Amino acid sequence: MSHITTVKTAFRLPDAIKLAAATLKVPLAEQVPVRFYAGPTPESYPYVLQLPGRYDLGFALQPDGTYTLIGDEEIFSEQENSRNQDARDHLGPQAQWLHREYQVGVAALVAQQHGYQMERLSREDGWTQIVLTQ
Amino acid sequence: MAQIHILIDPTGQHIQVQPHGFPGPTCHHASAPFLDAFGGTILAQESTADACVHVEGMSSQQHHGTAS
Repeated sequence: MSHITTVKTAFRLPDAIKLAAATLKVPLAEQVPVRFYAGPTPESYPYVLQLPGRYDLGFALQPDGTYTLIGDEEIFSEQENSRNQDARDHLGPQAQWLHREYQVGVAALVAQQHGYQMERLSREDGWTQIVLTQ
Repeated sequence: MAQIHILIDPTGQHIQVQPHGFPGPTCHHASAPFLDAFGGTILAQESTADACVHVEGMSSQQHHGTAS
């Protein structure tokens, strides 16, 4: 039988953040500031993707244990420009590739814990399909 | 063969977890560790047999997939 559950996700697992950074080939630093338009933040963040170019993208820990993204708004802009080009090249538009690779990382971690073989497929409609077999 | 299919939308922010071939209520058990790990808001649940509970409407954003 099939049972389909749809989830709107949240960043929660540092190990999946690390896997995503490795897949995207972006260095992930710990406890460092985030670079914005006006320069680096005075405070440090638990995890920071150190992108080439002008901006970084950080993960700010919330009281509920999830991480929210912290970065210059131009990283999340639909408009491409010279300042956000490096971020878009590495993370995709509005950092969509980061979200996707984090989810793939979560699936990989759980699959490993529960003894699943994992196969990843990219569909023509833009969805990523992961097939797990025990 | 029992499999779990995980579909990630192009934005990377919505996921469908689809156990296939798990007998009866064990589909819930198959999904559970993945749902726990993804840890977000459950938007919809949909079953193709009466052994699984159908719940939806927890959010205005719902995405449904086809089951086989």
